[in-house]
Amino acid sequence: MADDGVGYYKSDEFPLLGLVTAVCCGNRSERERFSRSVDYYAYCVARYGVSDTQARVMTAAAHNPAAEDQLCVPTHEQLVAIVDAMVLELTDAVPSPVVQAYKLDPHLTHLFPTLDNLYAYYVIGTGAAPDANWRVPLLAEFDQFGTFIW
Amino acid sequence: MNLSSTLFEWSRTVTGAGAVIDERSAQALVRYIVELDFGCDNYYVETRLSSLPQTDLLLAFERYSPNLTRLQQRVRRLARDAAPASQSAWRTAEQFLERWLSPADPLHEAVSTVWLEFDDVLRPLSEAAPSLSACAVPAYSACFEPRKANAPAIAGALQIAHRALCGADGNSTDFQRMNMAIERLPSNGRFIHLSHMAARNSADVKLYGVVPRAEFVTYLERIGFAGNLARLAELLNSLYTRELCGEDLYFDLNLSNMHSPRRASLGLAFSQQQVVAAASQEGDRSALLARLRGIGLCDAAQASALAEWGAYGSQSGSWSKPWVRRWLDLKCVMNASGELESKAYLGFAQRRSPFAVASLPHPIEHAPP
Repeated sequence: MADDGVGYYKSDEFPLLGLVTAVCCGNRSERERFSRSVDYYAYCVARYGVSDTQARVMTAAAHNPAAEDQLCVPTHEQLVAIVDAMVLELTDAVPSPVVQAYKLDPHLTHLFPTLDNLYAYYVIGTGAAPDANWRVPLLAEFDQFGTFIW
Repeated sequence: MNLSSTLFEWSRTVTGAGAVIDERSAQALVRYIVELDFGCDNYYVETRLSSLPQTDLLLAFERYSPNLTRLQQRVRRLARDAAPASQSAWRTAEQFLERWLSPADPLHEAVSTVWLEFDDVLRPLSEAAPSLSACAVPAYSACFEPRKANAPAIAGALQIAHRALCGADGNSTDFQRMNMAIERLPSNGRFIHLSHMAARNSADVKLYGVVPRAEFVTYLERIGFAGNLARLAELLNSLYTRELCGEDLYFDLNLSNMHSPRRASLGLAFSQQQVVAAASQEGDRSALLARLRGIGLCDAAQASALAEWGAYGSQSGSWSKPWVRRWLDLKCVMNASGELESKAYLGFAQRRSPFAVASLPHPIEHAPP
């Protein structure tokens, strides 16, 4: 697929929501663009139009101690910062009119139902209004990644 | 990365950890993980706090986990080499996985997560066999409100899972009891997973689910639960309080003994959903552990060590190993006479995150101001 440097899930009105959705639930090629970036900051700013502050929140994990697998996984506090930046972006926001959008990865939207709903409501203009306290389940979706039984 | 060494290190270095997992059991757990060689990256260690010590190991696999082919190959091999006494349980696991990993099989869509449980790791692996649990709620590890899941879809998934786990037809007692328990659920109750303890002599079948607090006792009456409901009502005011559990109660219903006044048991879980729903987000469960300690269901050393396990990762500055996630679950099982046995579940997994960024190069340092 031709690529003009614009993120598949980019939103002019909600750039951070578009970026987070791309990273978490985007199709494989878009996710790989992020995970294989040599410059995450540039990816966030150039491809999704997020602000400097938002890009720094998204790439803060680069400052964590290097893990054995050479990935820097965000700490809980860093995930809280991402969610809080999203809250800031979406506070008092008005959802977009219905627009066409690239399909998200259905296996991943299962794992991020709150994020999927936020993107559908604000960016695509088709979803149901999210619960008022969406911050809590969204943080849990970002932070769980452990399969609990109870 | 070595998850099992993390557990071993914890058991040796944290004050009180020896009262939760003694050194011999910790060594046995590491040996099990290595010898099973399932490529698993998500574990529970289950340990009894208030009765004769026993340490069990649970391994979790989601439908889209990596290494499922390796799991299947290893289970085939272990089933082939199993001791006669454990062959049946291994064959059940082998056949279940064979179907679950076939996308065309209804079991593949019905079950989102499978846990393999090995009881008493002090027994040699050559004598052990797995019991399986199958989760019917889609994407359960991201589902913090299972009561909103599609009820008919879950009921259908549990029926498929039961047939695959128990190999029974629709006439078996457990199958009929399961359907009755599902049909009589209140509209805002859900069952979540089904367990067949194939490796135990009892071969019990258990359903895990959630019911609103206000309807819990009446629901159990409606399904003919023969356990001690007076004692249960008392526990709802003393241990399973609103303060500690909120409005949703998570429970493990043993279908095999639920109608026996002398055997009926009930598991009462303190779930991750309750941690997430609670305003305090109390991962270390310190208030709950204090309550358990107050009624003699754990001692001070256990409470201290378990709180440390649960707190890991939820406090600033504790990220010495950011690729490991740890969490703590607790459960009490009430027997027919109303006595409680407490258990701790020490969860640990490789942390994964879509936001992970490679440590080198350090892109943010080159970013414009």
